[in-house]
Amino acid sequence: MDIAIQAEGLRKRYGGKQAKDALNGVDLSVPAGTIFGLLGPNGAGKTTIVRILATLLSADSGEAGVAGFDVRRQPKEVRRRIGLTGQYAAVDERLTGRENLRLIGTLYHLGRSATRVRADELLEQLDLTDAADRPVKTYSGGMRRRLDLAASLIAEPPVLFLDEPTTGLDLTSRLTLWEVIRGQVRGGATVLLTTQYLEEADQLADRIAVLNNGGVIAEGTPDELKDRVGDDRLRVTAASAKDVIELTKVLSRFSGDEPLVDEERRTVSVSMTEGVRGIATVATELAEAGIPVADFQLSRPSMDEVFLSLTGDAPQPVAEGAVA
Amino acid sequence: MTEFVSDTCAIAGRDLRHLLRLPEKLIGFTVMPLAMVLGLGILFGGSMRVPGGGEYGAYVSAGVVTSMAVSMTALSALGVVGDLQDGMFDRLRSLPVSRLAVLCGRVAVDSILVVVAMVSVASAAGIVGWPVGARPHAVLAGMGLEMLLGMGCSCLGIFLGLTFRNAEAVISVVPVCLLPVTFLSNAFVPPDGLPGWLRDVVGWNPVTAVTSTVRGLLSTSDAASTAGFFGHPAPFALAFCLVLIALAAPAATRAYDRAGAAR
Repeated sequence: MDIAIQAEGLRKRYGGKQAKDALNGVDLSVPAGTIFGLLGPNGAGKTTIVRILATLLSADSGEAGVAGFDVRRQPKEVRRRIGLTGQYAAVDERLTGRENLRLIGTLYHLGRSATRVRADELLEQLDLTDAADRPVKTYSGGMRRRLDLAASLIAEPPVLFLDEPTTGLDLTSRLTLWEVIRGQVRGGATVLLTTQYLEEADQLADRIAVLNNGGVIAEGTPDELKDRVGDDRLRVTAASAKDVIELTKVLSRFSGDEPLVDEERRTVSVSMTEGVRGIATVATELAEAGIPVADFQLSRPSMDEVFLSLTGDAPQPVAEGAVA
Repeated sequence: MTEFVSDTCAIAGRDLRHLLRLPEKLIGFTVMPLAMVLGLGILFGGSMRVPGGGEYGAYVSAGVVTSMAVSMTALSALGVVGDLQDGMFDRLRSLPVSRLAVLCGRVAVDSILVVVAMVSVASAAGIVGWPVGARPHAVLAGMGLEMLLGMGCSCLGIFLGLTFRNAEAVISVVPVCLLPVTFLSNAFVPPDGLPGWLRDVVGWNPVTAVTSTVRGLLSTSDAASTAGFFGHPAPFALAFCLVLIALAAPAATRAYDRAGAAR
């Protein structure tokens, strides 16, 4: 499979007072036609990676290639093939939405008529047609972000860099953006996405790299990352508070671990190694013990649990109100 | 090459739209020079003795235009800082656009502003009856020189904007640097009454060379101010503008290249 984005040993140190490594040797490899998620706390180096790959910033050392061209030696070739949506909506406030898209299209050298057609298409697709001829300064935050995404899509670049594209967006706008991003990938584009929203990475990304303090600390598919954190967990909620102790006793028989009890929510959880077979047994036991159950679910560790356990500064799985 | 031209036009078109949608900026280059010429000309016209005779209003006209061209430094710097701050700059840098085209587009629009200022100064002076611009080709030559100065200052401003990176720094530093350059020239005040050493400073100030040259072209004599340039300010003025562009334009493009380095 073609590799669309490749980085080896990227290092970057910003000058200034708090000189510390922004990146300390990052390797990435993103196959063409996939979505790659970069996940990490603020200051982990996500934006630095995006800026280096998008030719805005040069790395102190290391190699990076995008769409088959070297970021350092062939920046113009790279720029012809990328679209960038940064953390801040980089659109011109005094121009209208349509003028913004036409300007960017012209600067991608799409040609006059192609630019016009494509601009109208994107305005339609991102639900901006009604506002197209209003100056951007009258737009809401969500509209700006959508216009910003439209600007990075106008040349239909084979590689897209999306740096926290949905931060601060409401749910509807976020879903619209997700759909547009998926559409691009169906059309063959490769996407490098950074996000603070773990669910977003989980939903969109084929592979995820977790970044902390300028280095990749874990990489894999969302499922692989979840497997690293631990087994599936069974969460059972008792119908009434008086049954919680009995419920805990029953569940403790099915797991090597100590069950985690959340008294307030009347929920007890244990790790389940046996999967679906285990569930059937537990359900039968609970019925025999005469414990009414309000909720019963088997779930994978959430991305939040993955993230917190990897970046370290957080409790282990099933944190809230755990009484061991 | 065609890409370069279309890029430059696209960037210039954007900057031109900004100009039309931000009337206060345009006012700065129409009403402001007009008010300066009329204000200075009428207020000080009675008490200022112009070397070689003639109306002070006509004398100061060239000075006002030159000071407008010099003030391009601040204007361009602020424009660039605005683009840096709203992320537009990153957007432009991520596009397959030549850096020179981005620079040229902005500089082109800024130098149009110099022409706008010159036209409004000339019409103001003309209405009041001060003799400005008898010979059309000479007026065009004067306009060309002021545009060159404006371009050089615009490049310098872009460099400064990309170096300071914030509007407060530009607003507090740039005018402080520009003010003495303009005031220690013959733009507003004939240097005859100054002490000898100061007269030398004024005499060798490039702003003086430009102002004197334009004055000459606008057919108001200014022999006394040009002592510093051996009586021939024009070649010095032209050379200065070209050198300024030759130094500031590469500095600005290099600053553009490095502009992604910090945030």
